[in-house]
Amino acid sequence: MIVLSQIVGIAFYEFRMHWRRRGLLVVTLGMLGVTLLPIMLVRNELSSDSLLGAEGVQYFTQNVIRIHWAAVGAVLFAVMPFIFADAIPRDRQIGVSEVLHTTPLRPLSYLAGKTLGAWLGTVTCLILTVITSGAAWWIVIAPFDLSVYSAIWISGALPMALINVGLVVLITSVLPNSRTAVLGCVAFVVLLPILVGVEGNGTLIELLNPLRPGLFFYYLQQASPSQPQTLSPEVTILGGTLQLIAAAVGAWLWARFRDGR
Amino acid sequence: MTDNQQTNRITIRQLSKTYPGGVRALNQIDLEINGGMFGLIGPNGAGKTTLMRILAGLMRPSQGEARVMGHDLHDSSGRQAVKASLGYLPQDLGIYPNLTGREFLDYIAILKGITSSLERRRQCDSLLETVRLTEVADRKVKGYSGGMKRRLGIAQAMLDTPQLLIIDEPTSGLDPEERVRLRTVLSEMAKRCTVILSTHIIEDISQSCTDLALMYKGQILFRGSPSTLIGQARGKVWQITTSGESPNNGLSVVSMLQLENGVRYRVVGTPEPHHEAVLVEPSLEDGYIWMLQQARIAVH
Repeated sequence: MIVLSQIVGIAFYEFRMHWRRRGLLVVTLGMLGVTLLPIMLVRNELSSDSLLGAEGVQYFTQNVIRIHWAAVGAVLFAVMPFIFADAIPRDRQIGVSEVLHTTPLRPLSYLAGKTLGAWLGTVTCLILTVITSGAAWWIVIAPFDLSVYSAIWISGALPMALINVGLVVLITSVLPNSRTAVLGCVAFVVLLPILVGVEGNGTLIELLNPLRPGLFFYYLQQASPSQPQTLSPEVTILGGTLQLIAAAVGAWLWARFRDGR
Repeated sequence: MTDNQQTNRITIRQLSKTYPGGVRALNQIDLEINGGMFGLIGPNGAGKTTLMRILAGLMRPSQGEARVMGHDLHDSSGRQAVKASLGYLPQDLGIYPNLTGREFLDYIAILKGITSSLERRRQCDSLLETVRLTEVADRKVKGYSGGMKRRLGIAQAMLDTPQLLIIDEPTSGLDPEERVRLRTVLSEMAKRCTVILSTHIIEDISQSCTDLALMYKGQILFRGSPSTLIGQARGKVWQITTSGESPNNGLSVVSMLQLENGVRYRVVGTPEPHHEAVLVEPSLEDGYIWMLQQARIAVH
């Protein structure tokens, strides 16, 4: 009971602090911007007359997916991890960890609470964007296929965000301060894709790519079939989950090693 | 020895701590603390903070034995058990700037294992009142003054009524009225638990502690009551009035007072015969200075 209360408490306050630091708000507004701005650009092209009937809906849905997914995927891959990179190093930097570690809080509970807090922030950002943006496209342009639209958010954006944000929080937990955490995040977001190849190649090595090619290109393929061959979304999500577990075990062992030193 | 003292007992035997760089912060110290308010004094680098961090379970000793309330601090489980009934205020307390004072206390209360939100609310309100922060409780911490942050730090340490309260420089940054008030609060706490108070402000120790240790270069230089430490300096404290020049030759100046026709110095040591020195009653600060003076002479 106490452990659960601690995890939920950390997650709740972590989310609250991230929201107040404005970074999360800026990313949410950014995601809304990149998904709403195209409405102004394409509203004349996509006249409502051309969207009537099944073919029209399919055509329009593909456009919505392409515009949404390319923008959202890029944000989730390149921006969102930076918001949460210093979730744990910042505690060390400002000195609050000195107090936190004199409470009966176990290292695993601390890591779980911090990761859940970051996930809570990510999911809030996604929910605000999916509802606002979807409603705007539906009302301003025309109705589209909701099942396809929902799929890119639930099966594409959500796992991609949870894997990347969770990995960044856990990996940077061993770093001493915010600056090194941001540098660690740069390595994760920039160097890693360069090392393993940005586009993916259908082998297991692409699982290390934070762009998650198996998800990113899968949903782009639905809009345009001429995209590279990658692992399936299921394998990508499973691989990401295993990476999360490995990172959690590593971070926990490190925290135990550091305990009382 | 009362039951309370037995429960709160801290036993340290031959305790040493050497940092990875080779710096020996604690050198085979022996200490027993039997409850009440215990003062820890010493110059910078004496090892006070290292000792307190070990007792708080933040750091493992390199050698020796350290037991708090029967729990061995070498073991992870022992440190965890101590943390369950510990209140700790570090010298440099970090507080999340974007939380309000009330939220920060609630956060720490959750981590301390208070699961009932009603109980957390009750304790937070009570402690905010104790440290006189009720009026600013819902203001973000980044808007607090240094003294307010210090008081919030003291409040978080007192959450969940700890059996052991370790506080490092609790009164630094507080105005005189708040210092007096805080000393009273800590003295009240010391009736129910062990309070270890580390400070550079000797007055805090003399006003509130019945027992103290003076540390120097990782060792315990003196262990006993404040009156015994005062007694060490008896016959060594002098008042000397000069036209302005500072008395030297092995004398430590404790304080000085500007007069119309010169300067009156309070010194510790043995003044030269030509000085018009007047022997005065020592204070705890004089005892502290005298002991350090003798230790430095011994080292050289």
